[in-house]
Amino acid sequence: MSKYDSKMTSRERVLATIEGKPVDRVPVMLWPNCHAALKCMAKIRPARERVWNALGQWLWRKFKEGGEMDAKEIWRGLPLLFFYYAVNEYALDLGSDMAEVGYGDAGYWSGKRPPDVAGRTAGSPGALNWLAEKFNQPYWLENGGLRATDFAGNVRAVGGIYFDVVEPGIKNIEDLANFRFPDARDDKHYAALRKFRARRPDVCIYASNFGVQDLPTSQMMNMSNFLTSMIDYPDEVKKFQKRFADHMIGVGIRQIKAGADVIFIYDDYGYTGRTLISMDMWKEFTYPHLKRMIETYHEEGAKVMLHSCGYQMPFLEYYVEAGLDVLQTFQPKAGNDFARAYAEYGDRLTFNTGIDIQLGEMITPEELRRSILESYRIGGGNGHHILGMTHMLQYTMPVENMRALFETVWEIQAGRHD
Amino acid sequence: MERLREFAKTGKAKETAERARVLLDEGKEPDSIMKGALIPAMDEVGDLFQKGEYFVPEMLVAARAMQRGLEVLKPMLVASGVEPMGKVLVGTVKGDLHDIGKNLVVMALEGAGFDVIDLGADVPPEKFVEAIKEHNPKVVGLSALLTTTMPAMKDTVEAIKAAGIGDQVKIMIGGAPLRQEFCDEIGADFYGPDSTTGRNYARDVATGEA
Repeated sequence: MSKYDSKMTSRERVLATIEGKPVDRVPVMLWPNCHAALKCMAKIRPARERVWNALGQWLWRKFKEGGEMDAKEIWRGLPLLFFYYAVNEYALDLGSDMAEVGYGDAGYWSGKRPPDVAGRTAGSPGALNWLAEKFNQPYWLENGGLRATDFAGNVRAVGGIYFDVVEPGIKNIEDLANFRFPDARDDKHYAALRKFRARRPDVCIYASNFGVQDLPTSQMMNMSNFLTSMIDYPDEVKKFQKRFADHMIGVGIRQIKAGADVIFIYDDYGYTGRTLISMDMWKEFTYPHLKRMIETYHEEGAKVMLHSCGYQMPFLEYYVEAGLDVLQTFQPKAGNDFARAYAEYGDRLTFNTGIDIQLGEMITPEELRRSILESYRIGGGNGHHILGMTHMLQYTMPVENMRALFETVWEIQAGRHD
Repeated sequence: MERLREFAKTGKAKETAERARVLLDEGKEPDSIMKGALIPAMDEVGDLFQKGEYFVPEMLVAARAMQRGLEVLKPMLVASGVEPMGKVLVGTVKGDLHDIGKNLVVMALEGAGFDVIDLGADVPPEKFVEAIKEHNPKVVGLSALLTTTMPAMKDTVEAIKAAGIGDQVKIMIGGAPLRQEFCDEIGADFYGPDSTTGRNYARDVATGEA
């Protein structure tokens, strides 16, 4: 029997790879964002679930017909309904061994209706505003655009293709100190994960979780305010980060009990060629919590995967020291050297990388194919490598490149490059 | 002057403003305080950043201190008819609400003595065109964090050229997903991988070296 005849499940394949055990083939993690998933449904491979597929293809048409970024807000925003479907069910349809599942019901993620909402809606009368007011909902139309408050009190709006923060809820250090996290203890916040586990026992589920550095800076407090507060009010920031980590650990333990194999900590530490904060500052503010989260999740029986964009080379020794299982993205564009990192740490740390999304938008299909194969030859059959994307796949990638990307991955999965 | 420079460099905002006031009270010219302390302080901050000794938080607090110092000097600079280095117009392109990169560039430019017109985030091409016509800047800076909004950068460059004002302004671009090849492809004049490089380019344009 050749190794390609083996009957390893996706879940077994991923977990064995992380543990450095032999596998039948390299595991794959495909990570399309919602708009890219719709394009793939229309151009690469339809979704297996017919209703989602029909809805996805219709939304893609409306988005394209509207001029993509020039499309009306509704056609740019509605694809966000596919936020998790894109990275779980549809990612599996595309050949992924791993599926992402979030946590929290709508009540967890949404905020309170702001007291000044009457003034905001004055120029936009309509049924939605009337209904939202009648049922005290945290969304409204303002100057013709949808606005909503989230768990952190941020006001969000559709900017481009994302529902971005337009007014931060936490404006100063006092707000940060007084911030109360939403209650995440109820089982209902993990119902989707439990259902997915029951439906897909053979798939490796990674559950979204958050680290103490990125979410506070990018989604809770204005980034400049948070970063300057680290210098101006270090003790207050540290107290907040401890509360944040405690909250996320509570979430993570429940995610593991609900069936997650891997806890996926989102926390960007770098950008092009640089770390966002100094290594000394990172070791003082961020690292202790990252280590604590990893240790706790290990005690609960799960593996841990960290998402961090940007330059990662100086962090690697600390990731290994903290016992991190998987590092995801590892972008060449940011200055990361996969061959060097894998040679030094590839026996202790699994790298989830190799499908270069950033470069993949700008090179020819053949160049993209060669770059994926090159990465596969570095890791691949040598273990501790998940063939994954260096960021979420975006709809802006030319369709020929998307086709080359998926065909190359499928060929690797079929053993045609061993 | 040396103390002022050190206060600004190390991000001590209150001390920077106070020291600038003391120097004015001692009879120092605002222009000499600016050129002798604040601009060199921000140049040093930029160098430290490029050498990897300063990071984004240190840049932000230094820029904030510089702002406090500038607030003290500005009325006197205006009254004495001191001209800024030149005007620069900046904004994050349409569809992109991220502003940290753009804000760092604004701070670096203001620290170098430029008059900066900040159009904010999610700026459509036509607004850039209108603002160039209104303010007549020497340089326009376009920022984007997302690969999905990079096409808006191309649209903006095309709109500026189509409006017939491409010759009167230099276009510099910056943002995490960008590369020199993209800059060449869309016909922008300069790609800056960080705020200091952008500031240096604007300075070169202002002095006629670029």
